[in-house]
Amino acid sequence: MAKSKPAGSGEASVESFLPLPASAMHIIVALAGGEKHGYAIMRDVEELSHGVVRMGPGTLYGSIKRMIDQGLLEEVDERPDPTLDDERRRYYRLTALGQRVGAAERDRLSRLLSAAQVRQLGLGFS
Amino acid sequence: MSRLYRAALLAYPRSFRRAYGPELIGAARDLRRHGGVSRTRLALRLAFDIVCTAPRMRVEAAVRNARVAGVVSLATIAIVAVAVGSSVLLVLIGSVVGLLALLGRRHDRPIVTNPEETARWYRWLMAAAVAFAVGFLALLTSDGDELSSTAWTIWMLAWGSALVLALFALVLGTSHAIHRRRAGL
Repeated sequence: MAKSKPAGSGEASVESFLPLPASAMHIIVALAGGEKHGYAIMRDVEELSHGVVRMGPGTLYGSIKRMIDQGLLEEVDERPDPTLDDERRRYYRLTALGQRVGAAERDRLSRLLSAAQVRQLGLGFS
Repeated sequence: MSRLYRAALLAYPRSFRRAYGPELIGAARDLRRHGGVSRTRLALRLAFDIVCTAPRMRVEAAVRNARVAGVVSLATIAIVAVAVGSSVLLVLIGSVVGLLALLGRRHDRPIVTNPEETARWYRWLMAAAVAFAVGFLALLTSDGDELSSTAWTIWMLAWGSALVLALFALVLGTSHAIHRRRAGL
């Protein structure tokens, strides 16, 4: 479980967030493309995972709340374009800390995948 | 559907509902309108979502409230100590004098002299345990950080009562032990 740390408290605090919960990493990946509202994040997560991960509203906003408390996300004050979307929606984006934590988790998962490939995980069961 | 989901959101802590209630309802509505999900599947998905997430948030809120309670208790003690320092000093002096007088009593003389009364000391302890349990339940169900809420009031009264009742049980229990010793039991 990620520990609550103030935003921008240095590289050591980035490591203390790892490993990220799966829901948090999905949200970070969804927001890596830019700010989004809640439903757009849910849709994006479902698309990115090819329908495997389907977040409910409680899971999504529970994670968003925790990530905001931890300084990984922030709510966007200004709307991207109120004429294009419902201006009552709330938009979220990654903070600088959120981006660093996301990158660190990406590297961690990448190393894990490399290890799995080197050890030919799953090939013996085909 | 919307009304039912709105009612089900009561499972979440109040602070979370206040901050994200409209978003939760909006997301559920979007799932129905744009998600291509049938009403039944959506209802099951939302129910499962609440069951999986609400208890954790309740526990987190209770832990947070316990921390707040600790800080508030310490702050209250500090404020009382500073604001009425002289009174506290007088009470302390009075307590020390009273304690010394109590210690000066003969050891074979119980504080409460009615043996029938002291034999029921455990009832006070049980009452204290019940009051403590009520306070604990109130702490678990306290919703958000509002110290003025009913749950907080019940918690403070219950634990305050538990403390007093436990002290009664201690006094009666001590007296009962002395009674038994005197009776040679």
